[in-house]
Amino acid sequence: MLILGIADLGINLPLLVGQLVNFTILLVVLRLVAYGPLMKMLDGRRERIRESLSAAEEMRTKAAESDRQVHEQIEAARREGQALVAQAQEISQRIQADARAQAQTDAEALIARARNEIQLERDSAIAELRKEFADTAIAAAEKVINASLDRGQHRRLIDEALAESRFKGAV
Amino acid sequence: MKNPKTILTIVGALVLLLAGFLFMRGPKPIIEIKAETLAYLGPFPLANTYVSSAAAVLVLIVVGWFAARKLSLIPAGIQNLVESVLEAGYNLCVATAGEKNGRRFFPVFMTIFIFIWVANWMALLPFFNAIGAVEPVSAHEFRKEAVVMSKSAGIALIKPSQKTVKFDVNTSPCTFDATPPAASQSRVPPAERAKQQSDCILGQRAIAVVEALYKKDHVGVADPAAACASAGTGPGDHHYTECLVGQSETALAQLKASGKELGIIAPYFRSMNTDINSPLSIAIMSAIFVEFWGITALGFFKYLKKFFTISSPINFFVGILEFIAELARLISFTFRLFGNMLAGEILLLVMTFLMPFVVALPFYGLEMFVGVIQAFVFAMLTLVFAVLAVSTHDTHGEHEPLEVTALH
Repeated sequence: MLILGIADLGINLPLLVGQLVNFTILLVVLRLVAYGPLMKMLDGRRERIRESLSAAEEMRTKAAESDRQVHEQIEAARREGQALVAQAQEISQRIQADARAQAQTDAEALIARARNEIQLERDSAIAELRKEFADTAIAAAEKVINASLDRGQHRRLIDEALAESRFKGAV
Repeated sequence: MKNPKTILTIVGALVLLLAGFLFMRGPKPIIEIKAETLAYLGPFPLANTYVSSAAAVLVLIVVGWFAARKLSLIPAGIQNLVESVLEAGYNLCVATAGEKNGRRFFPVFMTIFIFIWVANWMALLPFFNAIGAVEPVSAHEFRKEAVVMSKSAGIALIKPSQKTVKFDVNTSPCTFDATPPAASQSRVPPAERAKQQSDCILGQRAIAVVEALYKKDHVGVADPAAACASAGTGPGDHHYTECLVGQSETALAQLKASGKELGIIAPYFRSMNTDINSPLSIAIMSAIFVEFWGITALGFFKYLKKFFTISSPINFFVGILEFIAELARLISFTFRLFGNMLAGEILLLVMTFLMPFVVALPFYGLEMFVGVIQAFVFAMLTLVFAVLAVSTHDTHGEHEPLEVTALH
């Protein structure tokens, strides 16, 4: 009964074998013609993608590295510049201070010299005045006592008197 | 509805529908389950399903060759299409079976899928089931149904107005066995009785043919039984039968003289999978590969132990059950594909018969869907069974993919 039913459905051994052969041919030919090359190509592409991905990753790390280096260099340059500026400021301050001190000493020296000269002038003026005054006093006294005393005695007397007075400048 | 294009389309579709229904309805389709044989090449019957199977193989090989002829890393044109299909299949294989096994299973999986897919879609081409050789029908080469075709310039055409002729064979006079054995009949030897019965059936068929032809085309005689009543003793008699067959041949000759022919069309191309041999052959290939992979992965004896083990009574029965399931796969594979495709073909034939235009279109879409889904199911189940075959019993539960339950 089952066999009869199968025959009615059309199962037919030569045809079945023919279909099996058809499928086998398709499988083998596609395997050779399409699957093999395509799989190889797909594998190649996958490999390429992996390679380029890793290359990109490498590039990225490299770029990050160089970025970091550049930053570092900039930072170093900045620091260096700041140091230079600070140094320059320091130097300028020192120069300023030096100049100021120099000016001060110069001025003080100038003042001291001027004062010295003034002192000398005064001393000589005082000596001059004292001599003039002694001469005048002698002349006046000669007139008063008139030759009772000689000139030498007079001078000695007057000098003694002056030495006792406030005038002590050089003669 | 505001769009004039929409309105025009709808009106056009309705007009087509009506015109088709009124003027273009063909005869009722004659459903054949067996594939029609077009010719015999030695012992090999060249069936129309085999022709379309070979055509599908040819198409696939040509497309595969063209696509893979000049491969480039950056795909273009047909390479793109073929590659995307193959790559999707490859990824599915690898995802289901793992890298190593997936690569092994891939060619068979892919071939099953694209072979069934392309064959199913090719079956929707217009010349499938439409153009074919005429197989004449007569009392000797009898069929229950046939079509009267118009013949002009050597080409037989089924005109839209023609109807399918159904032959009502009255076999009641031929049931000799049912009648109580009379004294005269019991002396007839069984071989003779069988001959009598086949003669009787032939005669009744001839009567049916003549009556149908007379009713339809007014050829031959109205009542062949009466015309031959004097030729013999009645049903089963050799001379009576010969007379009836002669009558039917006269009627057919008259029909031919008027430029018509009685017969059926054996299409040159018929959907590959509507012939049970094709799904069966693919199922056999699938089973062969699954068992082969199982044996090579586990070793011959270890693989056999999956089915035949005496470690415990329960395992023994489970093994036997698995063995039966292994065989049942063959049948379920075959009939799933065969049934779906045959049903689809019949559906399309019937829909075109009922409403020649427009209405059949959605069913064509449905058949495209069914075609690719069946191909996928077939290939996917093969893959899953392969995965089961290469996995050992111990790790059975862990590796069992979800698809098994989903696709059963």
